[in-house]
Amino acid sequence: MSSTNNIAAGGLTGLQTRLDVIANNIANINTPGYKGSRVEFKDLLYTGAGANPVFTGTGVTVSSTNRDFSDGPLQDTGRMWDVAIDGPGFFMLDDPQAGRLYTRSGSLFLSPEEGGTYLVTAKGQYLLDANGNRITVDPNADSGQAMEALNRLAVVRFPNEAGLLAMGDGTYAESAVSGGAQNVAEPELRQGMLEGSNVRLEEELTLLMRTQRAFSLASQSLRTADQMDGLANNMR
Amino acid sequence: MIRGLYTAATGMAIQRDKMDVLTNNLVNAETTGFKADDVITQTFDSVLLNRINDPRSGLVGSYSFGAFSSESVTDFSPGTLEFTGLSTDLALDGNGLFVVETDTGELYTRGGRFSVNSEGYLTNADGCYVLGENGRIAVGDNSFTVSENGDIITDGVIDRLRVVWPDDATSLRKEGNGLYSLAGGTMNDSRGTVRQGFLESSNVNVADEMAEMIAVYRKYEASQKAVIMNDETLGMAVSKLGRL
Repeated sequence: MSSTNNIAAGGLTGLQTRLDVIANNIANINTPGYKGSRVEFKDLLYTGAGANPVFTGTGVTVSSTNRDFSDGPLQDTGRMWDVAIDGPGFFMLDDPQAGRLYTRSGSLFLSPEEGGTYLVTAKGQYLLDANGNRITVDPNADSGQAMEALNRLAVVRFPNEAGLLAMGDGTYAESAVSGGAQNVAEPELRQGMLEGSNVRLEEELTLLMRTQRAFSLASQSLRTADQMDGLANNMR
Repeated sequence: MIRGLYTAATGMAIQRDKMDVLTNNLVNAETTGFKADDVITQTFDSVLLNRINDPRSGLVGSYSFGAFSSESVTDFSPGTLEFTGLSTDLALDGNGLFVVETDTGELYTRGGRFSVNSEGYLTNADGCYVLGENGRIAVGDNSFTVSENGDIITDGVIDRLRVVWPDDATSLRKEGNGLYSLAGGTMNDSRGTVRQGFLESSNVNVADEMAEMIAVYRKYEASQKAVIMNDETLGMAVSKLGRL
C-alpha cells in the first residue's frame, strides 16, 4: 500500500528540485559569467519478494546537479578594465577570507593600497598571476598599458570543471572531485568585454513545461493510488 | 464462497502491483535512458474440484484460484535522442549498452550524463568507471571526441568504448541507478552507434501510462465489487440459511 505512495512522493521531490534549479537559472539570465545548472535523474533499486520475485522499481532520485561550463556570449562594455576569456578557463583570485578562488567574471577594479595599486574584483578579491602573486598596475595606465597588465593574469583549467564548488558571486573553489588547477599556456583574452550568462531562456522554459507536466502526472498517480487504497479500506 | 473471496482478492493484488509499476514508469518519465516496465499476469494452475459427500463420481471440474503477477518485462524500444552539446553526454542509437565497472562487478547502462573524474577517467554520475576495450578510459579532461563506432580520440585513438547487447534482452535485470545486470545468457559485442553530445530520453509514453492507470483503477474497483459480493453472499448463507 505504501510503496506507490513512496514512489510518487520521491518523484515529486526530485521534480521539485529540478523546478528550483530552473527557477534559479531563469533568475540569473542576465548575471555576467553565470553558469546554468542541470538536474539529472536516475531510477532507484528494484525489489522483489517471494520464490519467483517480480522486480518492481522504487522510484526516482536526483543523480546529479551539474553546472554547464559552456561559454556564454561575449558582450562589449568598452571599459578598459573589463576582460573576458574567449574559450574555457578561469581567473585566479586571492580572497582574504576564503583563500584561493576561481572565476570567469573579469569585471576588474583598481585598489590603491600601501604596496601599490592592485587589480581586484568588485568584492575586493585580488587577481593573481601565474606565479600566484597579486598583480600591481599603474593607476594612470592607458588602454594599451592596461592590456599588458591584463596579459599577466593567470588563466587555469581543471580536469573536471563540473566538480568545482560554487562559492557565490560567480566564484568557485577547487575540490577533490574537480582536480587541481592547471595553467593554460596562451589564453585568448578580450579587453573591454564581459561574458554573459550561458542560460538560454527558450531551453529553460521548455524544460520548465516538461517538468511541470511530469510533476502533475506524479501527483495524479498519488491521488489514484490513494483512491485505490480507499476502495480496499471501504470493503466492509 | 470463501474460495471466491480469495480469488477476487487476487484480482485486486494484481492491479496493485500494476499500479506500482505504472507509478515507477511515470516518475521516471524524465530520467535519461529509462526503459518502461510492464507486469505480466498468469492464472494459477487449475485444481480439480470434488463434490462433497458424493460417493459416486466426485469430480466436478477444474477451478483456478485466480491470477498472480508472474514477472515484469522491460520495453527496450529506444527513446528520442536529445542534443545537449556536452562532450561527456553519450547515447546509443539503436540496441546496445555501455559497460561500467562497479563494486559488484561489471554492469551495463544505456548511457547518459557521464563525467571526467579528478584523475582524468571517464565515469558515470555515480563515479563508476566506464570501460573501453582496454579497461578504464583515461581521457584527461572533457575535450575528447567519440566517433560513431565508439573510438575515443584525444591525441589520436586512445581506446574504443565497449558496447554490448545480450542474446536475449529479457535476461537483463534492472539494478537501479540506470544500470542493468545480466541474469543468465551471454553478452555479445554489438556495434550500436554512439552519439556524443546527446542524451536518450525516457521511453515512457505518458499518455499510454495514464490511460492504463484509469483501466487499472477500474479493474481494481471491479475486483473489489467481486469481493464485496462474495462477502454478502457468505453473509446470507451464515445469517439466513443457517438460521435455526
